[in-house]
Amino acid sequence: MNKLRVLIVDDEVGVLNSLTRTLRNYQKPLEVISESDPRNALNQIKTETIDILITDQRMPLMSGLLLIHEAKKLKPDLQMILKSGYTDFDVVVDAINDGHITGFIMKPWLQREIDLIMTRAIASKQERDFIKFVTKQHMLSLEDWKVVVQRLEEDEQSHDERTVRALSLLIQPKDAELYQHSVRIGELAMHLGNQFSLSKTDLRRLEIGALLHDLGKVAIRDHIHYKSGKLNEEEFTQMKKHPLYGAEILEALGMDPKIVEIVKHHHEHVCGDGYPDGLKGDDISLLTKLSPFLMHMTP
Amino acid sequence: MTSDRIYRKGMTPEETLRIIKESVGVIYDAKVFSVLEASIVL
Repeated sequence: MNKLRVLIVDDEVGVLNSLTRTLRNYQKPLEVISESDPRNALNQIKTETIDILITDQRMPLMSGLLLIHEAKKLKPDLQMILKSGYTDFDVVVDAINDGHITGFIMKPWLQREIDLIMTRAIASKQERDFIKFVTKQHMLSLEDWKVVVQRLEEDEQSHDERTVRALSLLIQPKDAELYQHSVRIGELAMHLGNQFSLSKTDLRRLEIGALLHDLGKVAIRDHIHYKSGKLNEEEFTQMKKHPLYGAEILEALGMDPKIVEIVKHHHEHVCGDGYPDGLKGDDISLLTKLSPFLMHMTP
Repeated sequence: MTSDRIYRKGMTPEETLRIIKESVGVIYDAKVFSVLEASIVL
C-alpha cells in the first residue's frame, strides 16, 4: 500500500513542526505535509490526494471547523482530526455531532494519544475504502448483499425444518414412545429457553436439538435399545454411542452445528464424567447444559 | 424421569426434582438449575 498522506494545517509554524515530528514517530510510515494557510490547504485537498487532515481550530484566516466543512464537501472520504484547546469546547461538540471528525487532539498532546488517534483514523479510512471497493465492483450493493444473506439464512432454516420433519417421520413409526417423549421435551425446551431469555434462533435450536436428541437410538440394535432388563457392560457401551450416531446423521444432513452439538453432548455431565467426550463445566454450551434437564424433567 | 419407561417406573415430580437436586454440580449445571428451580411450580 502507498504511504498515507497526512496534511497538517496550523497558523503556528512551531506547532506544525512539532506535530510533524510526532507523526514521523508513528508506527506506520506516513507522508506528512504541512500548511499554515487554510485556504491553500483547501486548494491542496481539491487537487491532491490527501487521506487524513489534521487542522487547528483557531486560525486567523479560517476556523478549523469551517475548513473541515469545506473539505468534507470536496472529499467526503477524507478523515479529519480537529486540534484545539479547552476553550473551544462548543466547537468540538459541534464537530463531533456533525459526524465529520474521526478524532480530536487536545493541546498539549502525548505521542501515544496521537498514535491512537491516527490508528483510528486509518482504520476508518480503510473501512470506507473497502465499502467503496465493494460497491464499485458493479456486483451487488451493500443492501443487495443484506438481502442475499437474509435469503441464505431463510433457506438454511427451512432446510432444517424439512430435516426435522423427515427424521420425525422415521422416529415416529419406529419408536412412538421416543417420539412422544421428544415432542414433550421440545415443548419444555421452549419454556426453559424463555427463562434464560434466549434469542429466537437459539430457542429454535434448543427445540430442534431436544426433538432430535435421541435420534441416534434408532441406529442402536433393537435387542439393546428395547431390552427390558438392565444392560450389560457391552450393551451399555453400544447404547452410549447414540449421541454420536445422532450427531453424525445430523452433520451429514448439513444441520446447524449448534443443533448437532446439543445432540452430540446431551449426555455430558458438568463434572466431566459424561459421554462421549467427558466435557466439563463451561466447555458445555448453555444450550447443551439445558438438555439433561429437559430429558430428565419431561414426563 | 416422571414417565414409565421400559426399564423403570415413572417418578413423581417431587422425587424427580429431589434427584436432580442431588446431582447438581455432577450432572447438572448449578447456575442453570437455580434459574430452573425458581421457575418450577410443583
